[in-house]
Amino acid sequence: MAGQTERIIRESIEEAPDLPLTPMIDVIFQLLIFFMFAMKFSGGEGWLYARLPTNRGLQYSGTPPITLQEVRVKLLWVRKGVPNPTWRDMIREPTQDPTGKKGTIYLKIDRTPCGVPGRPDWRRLLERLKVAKSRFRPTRHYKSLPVIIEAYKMVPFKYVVYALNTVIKAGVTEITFAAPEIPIR
Amino acid sequence: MARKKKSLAEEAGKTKVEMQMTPMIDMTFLILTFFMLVCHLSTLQLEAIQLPHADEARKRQASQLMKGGKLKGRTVIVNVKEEDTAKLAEGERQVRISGRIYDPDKLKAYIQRRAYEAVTKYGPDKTVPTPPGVVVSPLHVIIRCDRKARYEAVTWIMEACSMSRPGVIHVYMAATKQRYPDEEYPRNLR
Repeated sequence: MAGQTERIIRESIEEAPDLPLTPMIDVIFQLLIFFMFAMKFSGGEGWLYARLPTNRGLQYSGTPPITLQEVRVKLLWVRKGVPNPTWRDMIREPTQDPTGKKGTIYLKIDRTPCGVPGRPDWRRLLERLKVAKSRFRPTRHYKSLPVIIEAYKMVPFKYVVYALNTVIKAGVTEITFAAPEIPIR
Repeated sequence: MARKKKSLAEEAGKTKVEMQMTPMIDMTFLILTFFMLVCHLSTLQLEAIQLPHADEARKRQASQLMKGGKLKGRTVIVNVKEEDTAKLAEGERQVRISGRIYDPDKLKAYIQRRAYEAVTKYGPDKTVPTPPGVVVSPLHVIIRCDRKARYEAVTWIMEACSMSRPGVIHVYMAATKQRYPDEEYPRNLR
């Protein structure tokens, strides 16, 4: 009896516990595959630099320097189906086109259209920017051609980036963004 | 000699090839931990957004500029999804920063606070000439806006930067070199 007890105790001490590894490895591989597929790689993302002017905003109390040589690239949102839109056809507020389906893009450089409503001509914009840049004479405030990009609120962002991309291609470095002009009626 | 060769051959035949499980499990745990951490961190600031195409966009060097480089701790990434500007006519205005939603007023307060913190920690930005009395923050704002979202959302962000005291002037527009099936921008424009 005592001998049997001793034998049982000795066997339990000597017996090494077994850890079943196979199911553990299976679960680990499942988790690994899950996280590998759940992870998303964002590819090909880059940045376009657009420095905001220092001479505007709450803390500036002076008048921003003006030059007649500045160029304005305008991205307007106009009513569809109008070949030569006037100020009456401009859609300035979201309430005028809540779904965004009534309007279309209209690209202009200063007062000159680049393309027709719905089909902006980016090549023409690039050519005109290059011409303006070659004709620019440096002033006290601006060492290179200043370009202002202004866009209406309902314009899809991709067109703003196209405009910025084209302006950068033209070699312009002084790029600022502006609120759109409100015409005097 | 022949007996020795035979015994070696017998031993080689009897020797079992054992697979070492312990290092394999260690490596598997390391890879798992890596993917768990990376998966969590990557979704915090960069929402899934269809960025607009721009071939002049400089390749993002986030790991160099933001984590260990010059812009470490001095960036704010603002995300704008297409649905954030879908109800502009109804007065709904929102942007996203690190998964949280901000309306234009909260955005202004947030940008102002971050701009102030950046100046306190890193000093004012001296890379650009500024008019006297104007303090510019070294904060950089990166705008990741969906290509179909309306431009008005970007105007809120720029307004928040301009209205901030100290001012924020360094703004980046995120874009991609990827072309979409309905891409309108001409190829190889020069």
